[in-house]
Amino acid sequence: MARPRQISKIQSPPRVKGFMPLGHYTQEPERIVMLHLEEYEAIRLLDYEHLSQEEASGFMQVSRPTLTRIYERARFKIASALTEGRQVIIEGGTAIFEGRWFACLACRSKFNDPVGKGAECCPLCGSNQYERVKG
Amino acid sequence: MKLVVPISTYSLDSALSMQFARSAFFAILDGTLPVLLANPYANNPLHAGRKVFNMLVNEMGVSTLAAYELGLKIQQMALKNKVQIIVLDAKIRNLQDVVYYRNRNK
Ligand SMILES: [Zn+2]
Repeated sequence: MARPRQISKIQSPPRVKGFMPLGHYTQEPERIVMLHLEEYEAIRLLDYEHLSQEEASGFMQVSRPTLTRIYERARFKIASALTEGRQVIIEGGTAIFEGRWFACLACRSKFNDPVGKGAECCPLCGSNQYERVKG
Repeated sequence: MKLVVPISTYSLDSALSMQFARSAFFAILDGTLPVLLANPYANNPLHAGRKVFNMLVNEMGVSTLAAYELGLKIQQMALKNKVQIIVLDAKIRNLQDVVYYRNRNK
């Protein structure tokens, strides 16, 4: 089983679901580049908003080495789409957005507060040892 | 609180699925034993997230979605419907682990 990756926070979903090349290109599903949401966000923050890696990692709530790995993966995917004329679909990955999030110190899961009343305990393990995820 | 988690096989020892809307099976935890069900929308080409959300939340009364990864569409629907989301830590590897933590919460 693939190891679950560290989750990252993104500010909003992308405006489009993906991009299609003009001219001759392959439509084989296995040739489609899947750009994950956290990869899209890394490109947006670093190359579009021109944030530093430190600022971007703060926004996304990941460590700088993790951000660097996400960014490098994103750059390679986009480069291969441009060079090989492949479609890009933006979806999947390990991103959360909006709302207040908390991290349980017992089971280490993250959970949100959908009704805005504040969290009483972790909804999975019931521990009241949790901390707010900044963002 | 009815909690759902995506699983990869129809078994109480199943590993957790990396996907949510396109997971082959789900486990619903409400009482002592999880209830397992196949996902009829796992191979739907379109709107799997919306259909799965509707089935689990509106038809089956699930109030908490727990997974490693949840699509932003599902997250948006969850927020709109005040459904809680749990993003599971990687150390929680299978359904048994979820049941273990869930039973501590009683
Ligand atoms: Zn917990």
